[in-house]
Amino acid sequence: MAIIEVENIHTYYGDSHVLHGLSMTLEEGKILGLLGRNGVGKTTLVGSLMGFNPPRRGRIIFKGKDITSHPSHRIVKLGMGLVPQGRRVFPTLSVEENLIVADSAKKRQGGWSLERIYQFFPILKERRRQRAKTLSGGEQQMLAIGRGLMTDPDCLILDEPSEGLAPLIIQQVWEIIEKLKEEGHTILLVEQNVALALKLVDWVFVMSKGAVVYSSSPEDLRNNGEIKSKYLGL
Amino acid sequence: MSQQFRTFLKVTLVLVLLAALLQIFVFQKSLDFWVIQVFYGISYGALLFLLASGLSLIFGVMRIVNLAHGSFFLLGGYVALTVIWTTGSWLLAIPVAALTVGVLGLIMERIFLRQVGFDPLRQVLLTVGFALLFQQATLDIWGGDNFFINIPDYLNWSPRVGDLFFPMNRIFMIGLVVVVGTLLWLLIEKSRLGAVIRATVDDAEMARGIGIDTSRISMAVFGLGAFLAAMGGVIGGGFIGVFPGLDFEVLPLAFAVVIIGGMGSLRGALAGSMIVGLMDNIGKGLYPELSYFTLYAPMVLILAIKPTGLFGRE
Repeated sequence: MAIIEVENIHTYYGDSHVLHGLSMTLEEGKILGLLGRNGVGKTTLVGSLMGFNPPRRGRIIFKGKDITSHPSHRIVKLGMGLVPQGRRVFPTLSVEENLIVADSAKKRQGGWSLERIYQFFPILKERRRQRAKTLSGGEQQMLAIGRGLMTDPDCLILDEPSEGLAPLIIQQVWEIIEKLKEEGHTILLVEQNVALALKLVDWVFVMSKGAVVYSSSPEDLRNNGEIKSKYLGL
Repeated sequence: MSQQFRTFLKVTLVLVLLAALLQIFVFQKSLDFWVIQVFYGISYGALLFLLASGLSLIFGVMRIVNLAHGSFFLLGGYVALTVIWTTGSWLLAIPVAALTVGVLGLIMERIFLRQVGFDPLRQVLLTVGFALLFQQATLDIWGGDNFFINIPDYLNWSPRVGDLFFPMNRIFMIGLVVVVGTLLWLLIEKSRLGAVIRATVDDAEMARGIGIDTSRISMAVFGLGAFLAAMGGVIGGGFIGVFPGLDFEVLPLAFAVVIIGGMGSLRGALAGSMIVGLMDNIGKGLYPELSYFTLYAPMVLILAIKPTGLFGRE
């Protein structure tokens, strides 16, 4: 079943036309990879899904509802979670405050709580009184993931989670994403690092110049030299 | 944090040096002079804190410079006068004036500021428009006379310590600000709502991205700022009075506080208020003809050393 359907959206960043009639469908319970080179509009697409930068034309359907021009906070309440590019933890808040402010008011059965996040990320419990800006990059990434989970998302968007992290830390983050998948979360993984993404995803979308130009299973992409060299620079 | 603290130390050191130099050049001033000037400076700083803490929080959350903030101060004074004229109660006037102007702030944010979205230039122009509108409205309603909010008799006496008299109303003011400041600190630093406000100051878009309705936070903070400024207006009515033009007279003071302390920070507002309050009083006491210099010199000094203010973010 489709959890997100993006229909022919056109999004602008200021005056520049970034997304040119982009369409894609995300299946529930899968890890979907969104690949593409720098500057093809991946983060703009994330901004449109989140309502930060709504498309001027086209529609975004989330769980059967048209959310195209909804304010961000309402999209989040509907079940869209974000772990943004560059982590964007609240630097002056403590680790615990970063998690608490994301706590959704209406808790559902088996949802995420502070205790569960601390079980998942014991390091955050250790650091819970520290200001977020004093954490290492890897710890900030875990905090950003924990914060995204605290909103109890049905679909979690991870934008460049490997960016700026050491290989060992990336491996930890990848294990966490795998665990989340086992729990039945739908994950949209936006990555520039193709090899890393292909280890994890069930399906891939390749973007170029503001549109989805190719989609397949990860195996098919691995064997498709033409797409890889043309759009991913491999 | 330690960076901020070091800057704070540096600035304090410079100010102490300045004070020492002044002391040498004005050697004839007695210790009593300094004690009473510091006391007056702190009480004046307390008043400035009421005025400027809201301005600072509003800027932090909404990224707008509220040019109608002096109007909230003036309106507070006028509403208090009306309450006193009708009921005769000064104590009642403080909460009534603060709440009335606070609600006015809520309405102003909800109906006007929010409509222009997150465009700072248009929001600032709108606040100037409101400042002018309030100026005319107060003139139409309360007339052009200079009023004074007479403090009740039980505050109108001065405890004596040695040869010095400390006016009770100024002691009351300092006490009130200690209470209000503590409550504000608990709200901002210790409650979940405070964490949500600080998250919005840190990164408003990201705050929306985790489900925070930042427009509601803006409305609440704007109302809170108006509430505090109006309370300042009532208290200040006993010292500086209530008169047309007061709004634009106190506005630059609030800016000086916020620029010195750093925008969006409660601690910054407190530090800035005290510095401006002390410098203004001591400056006027020593060199009345240079009063504007002693008020704005620390502002220039701090802008040169740390452009974001003492507790401002980078």
